[in-house]
Amino acid sequence: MPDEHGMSMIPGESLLDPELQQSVILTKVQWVKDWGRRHALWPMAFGLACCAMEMMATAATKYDLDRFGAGVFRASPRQSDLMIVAGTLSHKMAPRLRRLWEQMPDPKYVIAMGACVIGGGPYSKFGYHVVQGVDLVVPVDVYLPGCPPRPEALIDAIRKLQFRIQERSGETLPDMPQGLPQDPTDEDGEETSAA
Amino acid sequence: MAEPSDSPVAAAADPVTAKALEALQAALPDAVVDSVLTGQHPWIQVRAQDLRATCRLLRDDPALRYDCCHLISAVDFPAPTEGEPHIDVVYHLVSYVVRPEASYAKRAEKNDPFLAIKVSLPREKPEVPTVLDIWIGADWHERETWDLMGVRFTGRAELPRILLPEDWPGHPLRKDWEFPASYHGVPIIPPEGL
Ligand code: SF4
Repeated sequence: MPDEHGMSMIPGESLLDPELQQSVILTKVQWVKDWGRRHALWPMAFGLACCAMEMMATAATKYDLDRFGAGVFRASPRQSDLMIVAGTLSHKMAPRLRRLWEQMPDPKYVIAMGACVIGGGPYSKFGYHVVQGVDLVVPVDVYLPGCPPRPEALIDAIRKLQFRIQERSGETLPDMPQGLPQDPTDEDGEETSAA
Repeated sequence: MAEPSDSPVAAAADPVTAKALEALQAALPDAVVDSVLTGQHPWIQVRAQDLRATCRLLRDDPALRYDCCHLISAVDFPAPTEGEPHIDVVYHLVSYVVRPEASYAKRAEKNDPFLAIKVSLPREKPEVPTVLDIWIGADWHERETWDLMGVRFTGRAELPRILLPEDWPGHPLRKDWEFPASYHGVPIIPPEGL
């Protein structure tokens, strides 16, 4: 169980000298690694079409993606660990996307942003040039529907990815949703009735 | 497109286009196959072998000076109601010398239409001489028409695709184009399968 600082309490910890407890933090190496990873996701700028506008808006001042540690957009795959594929992926681009994904160091994550990268979107049926889903080319961690998704939705997708990263080390986070996410307020901040 | 009778200006033939047709008929009596001079998009259809002479005349005639090839497009007719299957190539021309109005809306307002020159080509072997040396701006339009419609432009050094990858199968805006099962390992579900 994490305490209120999110730090893991090891069984048997209470046997330690109380003075020692105040100066020493006991935790798991995997937990610290994942903690670092989830707070320093460096996205690779992969804007392919209109969805990229929302991605840029998310990174800009109003929505400030830096609050979640994911605002350092890199122009090189070698410096990034998160690929936000935002836009329409054409068949001509697909091999390049695959190659750039392969150049990213492990561990690496992919967010499929928008209807186009999830399944072809408006071009799915007759767009001969559009790949019908980026998951045909690279594995996807989080699917983010919308045409385009709002910046809030992209922030939510990044939070989901952060939960996912931390989940791997077997930890639950204090603010991690249990089961289906429950939002008691509507868009205007008013309480919505349960009925 | 609106019916010609809906538009207050459409009923009259455009004077510059009428002048162009007159000049064409005087210089190349056999070239003109068909023409419609009214509406916001008047067109003149010429024989494919007269295309280059037509274009030169339209560009160089001091009263016309069609100095800009605005767009080249093509229309596929795999099963026309009359005649053989054919592909029409359409050249949209603008004269910024005679009519310096640039915006399309303003042109429509003042009844300053573009002029379309059409040629009809057999569908099995659509080949037309290039107009690259007449309007240098025709270069990308010819490449695009080749890329998407498969019309060969002869007489130019090379005709690479412009948008699709070099190994793309076929020309996808042809009406009988078939979706490939996959491209470079990425499967494609054709429209019927969805
Ligand atoms: S999903 Fe919509 S907004 Fe996003 S790239 Fe496709 S068409 Fe544009």
